This record gives sequence, C-alpha cells and structure tokens, in this order.
Amino acid sequence: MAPATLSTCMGRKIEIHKELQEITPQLAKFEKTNPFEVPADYFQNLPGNITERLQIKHDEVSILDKLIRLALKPQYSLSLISIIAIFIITVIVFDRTDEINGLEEQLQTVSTEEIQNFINDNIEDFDAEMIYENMMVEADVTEIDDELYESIREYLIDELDENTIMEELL
Amino acid sequence: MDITDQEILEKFAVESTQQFAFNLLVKKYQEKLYWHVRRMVINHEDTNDLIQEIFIKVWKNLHKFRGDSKLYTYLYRIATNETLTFLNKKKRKYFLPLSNVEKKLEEELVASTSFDPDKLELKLQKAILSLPTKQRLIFNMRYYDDLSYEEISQMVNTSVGALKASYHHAAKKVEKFIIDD
Repeated sequence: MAPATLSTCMGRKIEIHKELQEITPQLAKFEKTNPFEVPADYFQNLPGNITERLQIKHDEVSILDKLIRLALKPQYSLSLISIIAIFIITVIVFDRTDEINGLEEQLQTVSTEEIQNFINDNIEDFDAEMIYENMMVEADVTEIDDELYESIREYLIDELDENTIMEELL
Repeated sequence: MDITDQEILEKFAVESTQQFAFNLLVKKYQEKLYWHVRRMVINHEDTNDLIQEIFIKVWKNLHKFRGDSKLYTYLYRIATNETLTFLNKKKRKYFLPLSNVEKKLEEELVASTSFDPDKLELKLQKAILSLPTKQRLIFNMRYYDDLSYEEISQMVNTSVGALKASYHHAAKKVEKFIIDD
C-alpha cells in the first residue's frame, strides 16, 4: 500500500492476524499462499497492452461520434436508431457477438459520408418523409446544436456503461 | 517503485507528461489490482480483460480525481465496482442463479490453479468461493490485502460496523466449510 510505511503494514498484518485468531483459531493457522499463476512476463507486458487498448478505445469513440452525429440528424435518426437497436437486440438475445466482432474493424475504414450514402441508398423516400414529419411534430426539433450533441455524447460515454455499448454495438 | 502518488498525479495533470505518469501508475498498482480482481473472477483471461478495462477507466476519469481519498482507495473502488459488474453480467449472460455461477467459478478454480486437489489450499479457496459475492469481496480485502476496515469502508461504501460483522461471519463460514468438507 503506497502511503503506509513498512512498520505500519507489519503492525496491521499482526492486528488482522490476531483478529482472525479470535474469530477462528483454525483458519488463523493456515499459511496464506497464492495458488494462482500468471503467464511469464505478464506484468512486464501489461502497461504496453493497456496503452494499445487505449489507442483502440480512442478510435472506437471516434466511430461512436460519427454514429451519434448521424443519429441526431432528423433524416437519419429513426433509421440509425433502429439499426443500433437491432444490433443490441441481436447481441443480447442471440449472443451473436463473435459474428459481428469484425464490424468494428470494417467501420474503422468507413467514412461518415459513406454511411450517409448507404442510408440514402437503402431508405424509401416515403419513410424518410414520414420520419422527418413525425420528428418535427413530436420533438419540435429544427436542428441539432452542439450543446445537445455534447450532452448526449457525454451521457452515452460516461453514464451508460461504455464498455457494454462498444462491446455490444461494435 | 519510489515515486509517490502525489508525484504521479502532478505529472498526470500536465499534458506532456500525462502518458508517462499513467504508465508509472499502472506499474505501481497493476499487481495489487490484478490479484484483487483475480481472487474474485478466478480465471486469468477474464482478469486480464477486466484489469485493462479498469485502467482504461482510470485513464478516462483520473482528471476528475480531487484527492478526497487516497489514490489507491480510488483505484480499488473502481476495480471493485468493475469486478462486481462483471460478475453480475456473467450471471445474467448464462441465466444462472448465483449458486451456479459460484459452481462455475469453482470449476475454473480447479482448472486454473496448480495446487494439489487434496491439499488444504484448494479447500480454503473453495470455502472462500462458497461465500456470497460481497462477503467474499470483504473477506479477500481483509484476509489477503490486509486492508483496514476504514479503507474497505471507503471502497465499498459500507459502514465499518457492518464490515466487521461481515468479515466475522465470513471467517466462521470458511472455517465450517473446511471442517465439514
């Protein structure tokens, strides 16, 4: 423990051992051993592995940014939210995580413009018009401002379990 | 490692030394946090994933740390929360009642340790695994990590009195399990 001195640590160990002797003398006789093993050089490599994961996470957040920005545009919102919902349901209900793991890598190479084009190519005009009208009536939204974007982004990243979102979404 | 927590935090606050400071923090606390998590989730692969997620969370949130508690208390708190969340997810994922999750952990314990199945060490580990999750956590923090009740209290948001009672019950249960087994 960082702030404690050696004598404090020893004192505490003795105190904890005495307490255990009072509760259960049998258990206090046990020698504390560590039965678990770790791969060779694991702790030498861990800091580097974490740095690599941080870089990947940074890229994942960029993808999340792209999706949120698109979802906030009226013409794409319902479609994109539906797609995301289907992904989450697929993963949760059918546990198809392995099958869609490759999506993360594929998305890294896709630009926002390409995603927009894909949605444009795959949405019926009637749907887009109806979605847009419903959005305007129900939400009274004319355009998405930066503040709204930031607050949704912060919420998704900080309040929802971002590990779960990224694991299940991507 | 001689660097103090205060020095790590000061370096982390400066953008040019932030990554360096974070590496120092990982090197300083990785083993303590790893074993804290490993004793709860048992197998190395899960622990490895979890410990990386924990440090990533620390990286994202350390700038919000205001020094209200000691740094290691803050780190243990994050590690504990992530570990409990992981165990709950595991239970949900397999649609298992808690007792079956512990049975699964027991199988993993036998598979991932090297000790003689007839030895007392294995009996002790099985006995600890038979405890309810929160009681197991408190028992490990006191028995293996030598943490004071005040420190554990800050980490798991439970009163010192409740922690003492929990540890007392846990130790008694472990003893009974070993004698009856």
